[in-house]
Amino acid sequence: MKITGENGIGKILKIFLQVCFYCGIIILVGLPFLLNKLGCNLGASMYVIYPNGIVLLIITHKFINLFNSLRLNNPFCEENVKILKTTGIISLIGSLLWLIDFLYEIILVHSEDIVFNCTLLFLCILFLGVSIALYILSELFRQATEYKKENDLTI
Amino acid sequence: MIIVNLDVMMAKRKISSNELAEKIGITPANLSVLKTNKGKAIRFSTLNKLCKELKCLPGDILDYQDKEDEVNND
Repeated sequence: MKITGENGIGKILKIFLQVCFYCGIIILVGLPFLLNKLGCNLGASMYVIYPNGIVLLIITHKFINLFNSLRLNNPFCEENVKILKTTGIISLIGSLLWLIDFLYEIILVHSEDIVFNCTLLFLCILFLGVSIALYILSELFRQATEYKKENDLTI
Repeated sequence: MIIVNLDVMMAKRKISSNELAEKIGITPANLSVLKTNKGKAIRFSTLNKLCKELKCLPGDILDYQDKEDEVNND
């Protein structure tokens, strides 16, 4: 299956991410009303869920830009290295936010909801893993960009 | 750093960039990269064609100068 180019899978993924991005905005804006209607009270976790929603939206937006370069058949460029590195840092911020929420629930609230606490810990580890993976990917892209540049300038 | 003296040899042989590029089978843009010392490497096959076309030795085209590698470090 073709990955790059006009009709590659990159284009389909880009459309999928765009749908996710706009749905994410709608969910983030409508979340307080939705929770109010459902009668759910997440307490202080709301202060973490919102910034994390923004973190996820930024990551999605960065990935849309990344898939733009796939469409242009030029994935190994300095811009993509920057996108991956920035996304990694943003993901690390997301991980820290989940960790703060987890510690808050354990230490201050003394929450006994094991499922909720495990979910928070899982999200924290997941975001940390994604952050490390993105950092490694950015390094790989940086090296590939250097090799490409060298190859392009070999006459 | 390695200096490409292609423009000197081209002037000696009275040959234009476009003409030389066409004769050795590379694009004028790539020849320009070579002439302006922006290239990272040169293939033996390209060097061979250049020497054949300009009737010279590799040493006539390439030179070494003991100074900072300004072009390749940017």
